[in-house]
Amino acid sequence: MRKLPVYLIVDTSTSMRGEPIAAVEEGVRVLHNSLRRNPYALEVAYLSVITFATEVVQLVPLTEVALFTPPKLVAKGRTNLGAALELVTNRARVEVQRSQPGVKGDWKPLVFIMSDGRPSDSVPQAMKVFDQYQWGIVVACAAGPKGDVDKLGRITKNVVLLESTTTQSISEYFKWVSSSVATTSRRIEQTDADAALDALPPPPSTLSLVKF
Amino acid sequence: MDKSFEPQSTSPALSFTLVFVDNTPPGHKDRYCRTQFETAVRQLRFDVARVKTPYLFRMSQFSDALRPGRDQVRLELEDVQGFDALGLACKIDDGGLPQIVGTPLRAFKGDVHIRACSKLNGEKEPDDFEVTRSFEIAEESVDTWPLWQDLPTPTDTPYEAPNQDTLCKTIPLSAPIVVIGASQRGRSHAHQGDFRDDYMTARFADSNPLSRGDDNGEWRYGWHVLTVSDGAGSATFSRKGAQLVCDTMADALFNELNHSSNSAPLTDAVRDSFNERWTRLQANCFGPVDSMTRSRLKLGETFTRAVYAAYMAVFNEAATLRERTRRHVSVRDYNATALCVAVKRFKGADGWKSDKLHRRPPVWAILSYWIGDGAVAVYRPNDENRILTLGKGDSGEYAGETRFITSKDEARFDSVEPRVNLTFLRNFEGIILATDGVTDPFFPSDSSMETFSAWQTFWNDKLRAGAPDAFPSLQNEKNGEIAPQKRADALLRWLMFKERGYHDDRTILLALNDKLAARNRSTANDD
Repeated sequence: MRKLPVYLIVDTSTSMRGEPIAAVEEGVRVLHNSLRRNPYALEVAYLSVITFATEVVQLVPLTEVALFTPPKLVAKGRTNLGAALELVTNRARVEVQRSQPGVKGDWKPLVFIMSDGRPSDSVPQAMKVFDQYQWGIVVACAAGPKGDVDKLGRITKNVVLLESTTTQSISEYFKWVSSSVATTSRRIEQTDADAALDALPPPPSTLSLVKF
Repeated sequence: MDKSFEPQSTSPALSFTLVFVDNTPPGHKDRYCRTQFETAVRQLRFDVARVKTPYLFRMSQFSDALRPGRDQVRLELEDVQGFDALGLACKIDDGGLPQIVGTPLRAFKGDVHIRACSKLNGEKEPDDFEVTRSFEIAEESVDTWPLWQDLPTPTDTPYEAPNQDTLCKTIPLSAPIVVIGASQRGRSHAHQGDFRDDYMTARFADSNPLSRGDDNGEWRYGWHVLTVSDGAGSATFSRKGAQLVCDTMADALFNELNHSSNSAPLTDAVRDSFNERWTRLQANCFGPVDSMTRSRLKLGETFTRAVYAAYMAVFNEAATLRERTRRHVSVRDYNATALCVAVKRFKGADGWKSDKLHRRPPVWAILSYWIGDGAVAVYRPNDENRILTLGKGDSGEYAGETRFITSKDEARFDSVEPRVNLTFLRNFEGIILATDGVTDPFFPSDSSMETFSAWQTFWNDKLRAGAPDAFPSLQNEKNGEIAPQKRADALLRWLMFKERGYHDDRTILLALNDKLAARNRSTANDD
């Protein structure tokens, strides 16, 4: 069976404390619940949660939907996005199967990054590692007014802007992520970076696409 | 949510009491720190377990509170309830951490009540508190079947495509073959109301008697052409692409091989290369076959023209739709793979030439062209148990990556010629053309597609066992021949097979040699 790996990379720096982090926690729960109702996602999708603050942690290793537990998130520390990009690349190298003689490869991983602020560490440095890996679709979400669209734009062309970090808008974002996961598994064939966002369902009105 | 999805919880709620024991002398700097213990308890979340799968959940968040290496501080468990009925144990492990371990017996979804308290130098502290956490044991395998929807396709699109299709034909030769095919919209497409993007077609020579008479009978039977195409899931109009590719390739090849001014020299070249090969074989003389090179060149040109015709058909269709709708439409929106086979029986050359060296048996010539995933193969168990894969699949490093005939570069001679295969076979049981919706679930890799045992399992245990009415059998022979349409219907029913994670469109087109198949059955029975 060829799995569809989905990496959720979430900002848990101090600025996320309070409503935003609670909303993200709830969002992951909503995402998980809706994937549990989708037969295709239940069969093929695998979820992982990576959080970045001062420390970068893979809270949930790549786990199939039926066995996934939404994690408890704690917001505290700096915004080490670069380290998160390195970690997800290293994890994908271990957790995602590539085609080899005798084994067929998994789907290319989907990556959803969410950050509400300016990265504290060097993103360009980390991109040297991150870019080496063949990702499926990488979507970066700049959450709230302080989200650093320019920095996120260096990670991927697919940047969406969330105007605020209220429970409402964060939950909309995660609903969109869940429908993206449910529909992409067979659409990401032959993806090139430009066409990537077209392959996803249209984002809700609270999300705006950033054009570069 | 469907009821079958909610694991039943009939056992009493799970519970345990966690006691933090601290015997550090009063006044010591590391003495009991209530917050660390409490934080750890409050952060507790259990991983989901699964029936019959060994489970181990270590509550490692307590390691900070335990101050490693200090035996005055430890955790104790009391009043553990409900876990053993599920096949689990809740206990303190060798490292002093609480854990839940075991192999769950049945599914469960419910709460764990955790009571936390502490004992300081043997005295119970008045700081008890309780938390409730959910705990789940998932079914051994989740039954996703009730969740699949079968939605109708939209009506407001430029191209329609039926959700399923069958094809059948008996070709009356001295060694008759039956062609049956079935194509079914995949569950993942049906769930979203998407179209079937697969397509198949065939052109049969016997319905178009060939004009050129030949006393050797070489020309009595023309080339039959079979094509299958899988439209890319990522391309909006790939269903139309697949149809255009199949029909254009089939028409082009059929005409080139049977009717055009090229057909006679081409077929002569193919026959000559077999004759030469046969003659050399009889004379034990090996080495490159000159006429093979000549026929390959001709075949390369023929297939290049067919591939180019398919590309142009798609190109023109895209242009027409662009003109009509004034929307951005490109060839890429029609991306599709292509699997083609042309087959012809050459009559034996008994008396064809008087000298013995040129005498050769009747033979099947099988031409093929294959781009993208799926498979084209010839199954011939009685011939040294070999599978003949007619070409190589184009799957990429990750799932879902492949090549399409609709790329411009693929219509060049240099790209087409290496994909063309010419094979001569005395006999075969079946020629198989299948899209990846059929091959992916059964072949773990491209290399397994080249091993006979994988095909044998596919042919006998999956295909024949799953669709017995599509094949001749001793039983069926007693009851008389089954109508080809019934055989194709049986194949279509088989295409609904359930295989976790594999729900793409499925298409299989078979050319079956019934006599040989029946003979193989009876020999198998004799054994």
